[in-house]
Amino acid sequence: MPAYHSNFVGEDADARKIGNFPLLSFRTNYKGPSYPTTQEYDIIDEVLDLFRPNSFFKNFEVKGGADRSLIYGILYTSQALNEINKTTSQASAIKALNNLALEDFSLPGDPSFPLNNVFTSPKDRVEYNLLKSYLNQFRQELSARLIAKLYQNDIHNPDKFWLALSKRKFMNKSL
Amino acid sequence: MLNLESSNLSLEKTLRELFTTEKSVSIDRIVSDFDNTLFHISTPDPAEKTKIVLSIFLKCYNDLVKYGDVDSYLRNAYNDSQWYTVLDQPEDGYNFSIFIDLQQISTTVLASPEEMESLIAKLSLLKRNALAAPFDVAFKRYDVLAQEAAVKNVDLYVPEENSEEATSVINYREDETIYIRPSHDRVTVIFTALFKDETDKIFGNVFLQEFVDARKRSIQNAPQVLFSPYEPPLELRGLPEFQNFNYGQQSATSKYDKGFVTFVLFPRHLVPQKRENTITQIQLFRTYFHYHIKASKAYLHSRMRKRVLEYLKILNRAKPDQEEKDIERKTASGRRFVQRI
Amino acid sequence: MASTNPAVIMGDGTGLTKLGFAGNDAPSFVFPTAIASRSTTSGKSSAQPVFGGNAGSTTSANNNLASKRGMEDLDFYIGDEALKAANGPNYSLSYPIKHGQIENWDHMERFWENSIFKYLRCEPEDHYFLMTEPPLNPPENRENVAEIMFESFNCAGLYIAVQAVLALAASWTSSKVQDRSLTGTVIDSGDGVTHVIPVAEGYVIGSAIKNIPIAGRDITMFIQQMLRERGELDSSLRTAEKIKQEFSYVCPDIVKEFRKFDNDSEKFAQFIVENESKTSKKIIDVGYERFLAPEIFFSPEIANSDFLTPLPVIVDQVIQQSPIDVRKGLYKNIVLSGGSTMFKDFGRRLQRDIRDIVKERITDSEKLSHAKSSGVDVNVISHRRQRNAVWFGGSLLAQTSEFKAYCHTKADYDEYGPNIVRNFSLFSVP
Repeated sequence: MPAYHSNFVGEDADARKIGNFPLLSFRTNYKGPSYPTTQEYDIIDEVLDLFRPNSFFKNFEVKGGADRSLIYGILYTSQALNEINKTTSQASAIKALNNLALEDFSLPGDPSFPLNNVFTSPKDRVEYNLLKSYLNQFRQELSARLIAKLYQNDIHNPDKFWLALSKRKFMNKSL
Repeated sequence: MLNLESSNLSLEKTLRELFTTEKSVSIDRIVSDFDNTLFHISTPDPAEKTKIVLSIFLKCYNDLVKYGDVDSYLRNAYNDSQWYTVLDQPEDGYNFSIFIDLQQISTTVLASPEEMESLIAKLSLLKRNALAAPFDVAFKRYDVLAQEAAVKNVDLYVPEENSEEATSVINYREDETIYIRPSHDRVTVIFTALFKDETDKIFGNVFLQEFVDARKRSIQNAPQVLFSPYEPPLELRGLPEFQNFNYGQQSATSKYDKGFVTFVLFPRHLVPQKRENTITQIQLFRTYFHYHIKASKAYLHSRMRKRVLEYLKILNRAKPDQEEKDIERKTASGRRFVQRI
Repeated sequence: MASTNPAVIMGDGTGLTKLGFAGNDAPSFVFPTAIASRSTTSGKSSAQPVFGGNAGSTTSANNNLASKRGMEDLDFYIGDEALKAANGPNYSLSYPIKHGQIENWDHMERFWENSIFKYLRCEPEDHYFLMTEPPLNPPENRENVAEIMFESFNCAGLYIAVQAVLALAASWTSSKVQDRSLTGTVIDSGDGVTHVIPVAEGYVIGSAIKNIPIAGRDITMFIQQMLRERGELDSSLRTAEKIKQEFSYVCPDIVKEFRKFDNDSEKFAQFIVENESKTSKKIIDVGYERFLAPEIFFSPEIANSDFLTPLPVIVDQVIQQSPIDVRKGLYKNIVLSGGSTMFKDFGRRLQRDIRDIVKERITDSEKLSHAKSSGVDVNVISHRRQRNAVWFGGSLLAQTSEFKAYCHTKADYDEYGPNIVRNFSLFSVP
């Protein structure tokens, strides 16, 4: 069986797009360009759902825009898990991931971006800034929900079964 | 593997598994042993999986009963433990059955592995013990005879005259027999040696000759071994089956086309502390003998294979090199030499 | 005369040998096909005196051959004892079977010698033997086996059966099997390699056999890797193997299974490792590897980047490569054999996946041809004897009253020679 694809492929037709990256809306309290939504299951939930199975796969065929959101999300999750170790408490994990979400990161088109063969770069400065602020918001929301999952059972120690997956590299890539 | 063990390894393993597994399972297993012996381990009642019956079938059981009173011998041997009981009526198709209740065993015996091991060892010696019965009878008879002789002050090494002493005849295999004959100064054990295969016969004769000679050379303590390729030894003269045998008439087509191997067990082999070991060793003679014939054939085979390999190497060396005329030769620049004719 | 003596079933595999008697439901012995023989440390091994040798250089050795020859040829161990002996000095270990086929006949002959006399305790003259061979075994190897069995051991009778056919016969005990046919696809997965073998009416379709480099050992190593990544206290191969045997199962869908773990912490298990003296205990948590490990049959990508075709696809390819008139029979009777097919729900998942593949093809062809297909029945058969299916199939066949009639006897061998074993008539279905 191949890796799992996003269920939002096909649903992203009316979403705004930058290059071939759709700006899917998700539930969030962070400020940013994502449209507010009430859908129960959004792309962020899906990223967290598919992160565990997909992180074992080395090959992934992009079937639509939403798959790119999925790839970005999974690779970010993996990066985030690498910031946390067995003894990190919830408070310091929040701090670490906040920093990670807001620090300077590369965008599609930047030479340091690892997935340029799957993503197309933004057309102009306006698009570039829009994408940057969207991804910022995306990363913050993902970090928050990831922490909620990791410290679900024990607020002092993160879930070690999740942490172990940080050693796997989805598509053999990392952000 | 130089020595064959007298206990049955497969039986041992099955019992150990039964004793140590926590959840009891119903079992119905047969295990074979040398000389047409069959064991059957089963749980006769599927509802009670802890109740195990171990049965043995021996081809020569009737002979053992006749000459060794094997039933009471075994009952005697196996009444020393509370963990198993001998069944009054053996399982259908088998000669002797022992009943074991795992429930009792698992609680107490498991605490001490030594006790369990000795229990297993005892049970897996069932065949050896069954076959020991006639030897035991013969050895006891020897005790009596020796005592009588001592009373009568008979010189130990004077051959006794009367041949009235009964000979036990154990037909332990099809066409193969053990004869046991006690007397006042020795117990004579005679095996028939029968080979189905001509090659084996030759091997067997060589082996047995070595056996006979070995004692002359070095091993003085071993029992005396005599081998007669086709003539029944004089000890057997009295038996009905040999009564019409014409001694001194060398004929390979004789009706008794089998050899006879005689072991003479002297008093030093029959002292109480050695007696059990003597029984254990001597009953494995035939198997041991045939095992070694087969092992030496295997050894010869491996040498033959080695030899064939050597020859193949020589043959390969003798192969002419590939004829050179078809090979195209080129200079460094890629030009060819073409022979002008 | 040997009427009371049960036939002996000897199944020698690359990794394990299974020995036992016909009529039993499990082999009496299962141990590694390994032999430890005394290593000839001195340089003499090359100049070993040759029997009856007349080559000039060896004559001097021949003269005192008798005094030099000891019992070295009997000084060896097999099976578990061999592994133990090889740990010490003086013994060197070797595995006489490679890739299912016997490579070292000297060692194999002695291995059998010990199997028969020490472990099975039977006089080969009294017993019939059923031996197993891998598919595509060259006939020369059969002859070699016959030579050893008849000439060294004088066995009463011999039948050599192909492992896959015996595995099919073993599946007759399953309640799912209605007609006892010898047509079917055998999936045989042991420790080293997994074979998919189509069999039509008792004959192996050699051209369609496929091997998959994923088997028990890969699953164990996958578990070990996950334990290491998590930094568990003990991640030895032994622990991984135990976890595989005790906790692993096949799930229908990994994403859903991950969710089940989130909602139900009971799914996480704990495995306790004790050291030999039982003084210290290590507690190992067992998590997602429970269902991810056997998943590598279905998504090989997660463990290995060289081989990417899932098992169901391979099975489908094998059947598609077989002659068209037997394909329905091959789909209908897919039989599992070997320890690595023992995972819970393995058969069910395989059946579902193959059904999906077949259904897709049927819809496609219906679309193209506008004709209604009569449908293809896909059945994967699991049964209780799967672990030792080959051995058990042999035990089933050899206890039938007809068995001896199908064997070649010692008399036949003496009359016709080794090539008699090139052909064995197939068992008619009892």
